[in-house]
Amino acid sequence: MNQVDRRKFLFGTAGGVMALPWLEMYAEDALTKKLKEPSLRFASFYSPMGFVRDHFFPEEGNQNFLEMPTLRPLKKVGEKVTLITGLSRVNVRGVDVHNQCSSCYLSSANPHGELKSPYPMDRTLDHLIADKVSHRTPIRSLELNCNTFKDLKESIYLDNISWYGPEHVATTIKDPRQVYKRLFKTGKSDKDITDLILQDASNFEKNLSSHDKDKLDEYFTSVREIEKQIEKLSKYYATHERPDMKEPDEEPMTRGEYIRMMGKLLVLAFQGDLTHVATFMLAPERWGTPQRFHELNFTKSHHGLTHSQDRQDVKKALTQVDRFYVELFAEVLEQLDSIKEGEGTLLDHSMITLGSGLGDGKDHTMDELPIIVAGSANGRIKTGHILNCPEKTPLANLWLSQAQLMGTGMERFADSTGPLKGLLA
Amino acid sequence: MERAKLILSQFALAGFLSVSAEGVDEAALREEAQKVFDEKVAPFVKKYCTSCHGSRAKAGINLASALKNPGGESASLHWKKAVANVKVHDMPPEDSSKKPTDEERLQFIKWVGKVKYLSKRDPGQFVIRRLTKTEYANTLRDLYGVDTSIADSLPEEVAGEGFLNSISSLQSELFLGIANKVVEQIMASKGKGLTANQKRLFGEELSKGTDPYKAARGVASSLARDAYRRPPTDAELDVLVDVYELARKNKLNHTEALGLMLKAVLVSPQFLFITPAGEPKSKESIVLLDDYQLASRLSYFLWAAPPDAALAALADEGKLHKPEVLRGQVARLLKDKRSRALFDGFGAQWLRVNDLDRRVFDPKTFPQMTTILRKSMMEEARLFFESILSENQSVARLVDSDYTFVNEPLAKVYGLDQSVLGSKMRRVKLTNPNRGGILGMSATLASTSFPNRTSPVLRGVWVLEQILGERVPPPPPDIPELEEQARSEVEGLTLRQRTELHQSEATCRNCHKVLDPIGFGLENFNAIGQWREKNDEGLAIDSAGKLPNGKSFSTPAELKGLLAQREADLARNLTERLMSYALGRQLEGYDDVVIDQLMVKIAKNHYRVRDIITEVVTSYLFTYRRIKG
Repeated sequence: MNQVDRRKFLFGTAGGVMALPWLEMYAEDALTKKLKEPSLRFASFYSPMGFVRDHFFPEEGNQNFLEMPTLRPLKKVGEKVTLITGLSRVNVRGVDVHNQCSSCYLSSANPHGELKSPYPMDRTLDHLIADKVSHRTPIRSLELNCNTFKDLKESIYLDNISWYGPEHVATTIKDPRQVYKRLFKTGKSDKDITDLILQDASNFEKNLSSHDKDKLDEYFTSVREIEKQIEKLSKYYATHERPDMKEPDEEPMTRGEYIRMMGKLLVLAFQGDLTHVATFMLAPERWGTPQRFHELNFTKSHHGLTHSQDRQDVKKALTQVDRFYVELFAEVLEQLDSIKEGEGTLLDHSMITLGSGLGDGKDHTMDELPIIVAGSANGRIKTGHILNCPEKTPLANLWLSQAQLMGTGMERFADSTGPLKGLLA
Repeated sequence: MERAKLILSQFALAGFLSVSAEGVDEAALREEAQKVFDEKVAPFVKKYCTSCHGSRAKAGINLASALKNPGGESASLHWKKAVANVKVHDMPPEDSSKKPTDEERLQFIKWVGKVKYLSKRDPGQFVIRRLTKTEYANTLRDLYGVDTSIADSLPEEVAGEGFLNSISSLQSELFLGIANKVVEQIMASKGKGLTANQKRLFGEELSKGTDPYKAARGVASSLARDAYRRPPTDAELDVLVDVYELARKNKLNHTEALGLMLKAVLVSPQFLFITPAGEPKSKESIVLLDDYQLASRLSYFLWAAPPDAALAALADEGKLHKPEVLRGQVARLLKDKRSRALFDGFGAQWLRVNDLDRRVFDPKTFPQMTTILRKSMMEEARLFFESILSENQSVARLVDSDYTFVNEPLAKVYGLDQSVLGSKMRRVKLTNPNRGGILGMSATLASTSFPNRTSPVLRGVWVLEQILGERVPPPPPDIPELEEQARSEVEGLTLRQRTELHQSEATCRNCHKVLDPIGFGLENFNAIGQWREKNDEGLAIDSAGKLPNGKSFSTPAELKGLLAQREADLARNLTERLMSYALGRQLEGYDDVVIDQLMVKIAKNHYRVRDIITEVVTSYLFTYRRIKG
């Protein structure tokens, strides 16, 4: 490395002040003199073990899904929500269902191909989208997770929907204070040093097997990613105010308070254009230990109960949990909708999905997946209705449509058969 | 001439390794195994199994590919699962048209046992791996004198295959942040002269006339030797000196520039990953680990920490790989207090007591389960494990012993006399034969229970899988949990009767008739390990039962006695688990052959636990690696 390069790293003066894409967002297009379209935000919320079906899906012919016991909390933003029926994933037999539900949910990878991991996994939708849109924001993507279990005896597959690729998990942030720091604090760049180190590592890499090289590459990529993020964030905060929010303290929170806090951080991230891509685990798939819901009269194991949901009392108990998660999801939507942006609201400029990788917690099928899409993606998605798809429509069709709406230019997504018919306005 | 030829051919043999060091003729065994496989195993599998477990891999068992390459790495897990199911009569299913006789089953289990000889001799690759959170924290502590809490912000390691190698930008960000903190702590005393720590790491202050770049190169060399756990290459030193130069050109003084160099070391992949020094120029496909790799493998196994000065010196001298030296180092490392990492990282997970301090217990039923009591329970398990190890006792004593460690809160749980006072743990002699050993210990009994009641099934599975090393086929996915059984079905039944409902259904019976008796044999211990004569329903507890081998017992003491007699099984299970932990990978194929050989040696002196560790460390799998093929 020569002297000129070094100086550039240290003082970061090369190229002067870059134009900041996030400042242009509501500017006029220089050529057409029209107001540019607001950037779309993408988020995918995951709820484990499916929802009790009878309380989630209305009977055929009944369009009034907002009266369903589980979906009632969505009423305030009902006009901006779409319930989708008929979506399915192919369950790869012979491997654990719950692990597959979560780890394959957002990639919906081809179930018939050669497995590179215990389950059919691939780069997930959020990262494919981030590949395309992350240049707009200081932070590439956010992976949030409201799993409070400290016992890590369950597998990583149950706890993650966001993957860089097979066996390469996008580690989630579970601590609101860590999310706060990520969003609102600017770290110190070590780019001058890490550049030298990474350059050197390519020397000793020559001696390694291809598997080992891949592992090191993961590290190099992640370090470069961080340096880029630090640089972008410092530039961002040179011109942007930090939001008026106190750093979360260490006081214990109830389950609801905790999820609400994570939701609020997500809303702030979207509002400030800190990132446009996020995933949000409301809870992990099948965790052996019972989850404590301080707000509910519910002490059993959520997973355990889903097995016997044909009993009325069990169904009632489970619906409490289902509705609890939908309520918290609805609160995020309401917050997004209360934020004016250009001619609409932040929710109008978003595409927020809530779903589960399991259609039914009792018979463990991946048919009729419960899926809700909120936000019209700048008016492109038809909202306020039920979209009934033919049975066994691949979930990948919805993911393809979302990838296209986010501007990836993709024409296929995993085992998709085409964009989801009827989704667009 | 003749003699020279003979010696040469011995070399060739050693090179091709067709005869192992123990003098076992592996070629002959392989030939026999092939014959048994072709004539016995394959026909059985084709007749009874492949119509379901063909290439579609029902329940994760794919016998089509295992038939094609029976000695392959991936095949061994399929064979093990198949044997487990055939053994308990779980497979083929009750309703299948063709079912093997009991004699055929026994034969099949025996034949499959030989399949391992079809695997090629292979110690596995030495895959580079990232330090775990614990290892990373301990490494920072040992090398830089910082507190391990400096790494608390890192995410916990999670279970899953191959993830210890994975790294995400979140982790990298934290690694960078922690590196900054370490350097800040070391540099903290700016303007006050060098601290002892700075002197140790960076040497004395520059005297006049010393070439600072030469001095920096010297510091780089010693920093990198410790942090990379091997001598750095010239190219690696060049880079560190470049960092120093970069800092000096930006007006940092000598010490500050060295601090920046240390930061560079801490974010280097050579520090975060355990990497080889370079590829040996051998034509062999299997070579000895170099002494530096061996030192790291050994110290991270027993200490979860980097090699200390003594280990590093032995590696520098090229002496560490000698078996007698290795044995001496195992003994030395196990005496050091850092070896408690072997319980924290291995023992606690093996016994499944690692999350006891965070488990939820019903506060109404067990108000005494305070944080102090849980911690005491964990301490008991640790002290007991360590006593077996340091006294080099037999594995049988793990299951059945006449002493344990208690403090006042624990003594109350055990109903011991009033003389044990205070929170300090102490060794006590036990007179009650039901206590003593991991089966009568509150930590394990509580860890295998539900928040408000015992679970004979969990305890049964725990004994079979964790302690005896048997493979229990998983339950079908659609069975209700006991709690959710329809009320009308279970009203007025005891837990035992309710659990025995399992045995009335074909899909459940075969496994539960093995699991349940062991679990019920421990029913006198409640969900936190207290002794009781009556169960939650107020009925007298019936702990009598029979093991699959027909031997019966009527108290926990007798059950423990029977299990303690299975020394060979207990020892093999512990050996396999330790080996897998030491290598950081699952055991498969050829590994079984090596374990067989170790077991012969371990058996000679009554299956002593420290001997097991010594054998693991000096084994072929621990000391060799495959570099090609």
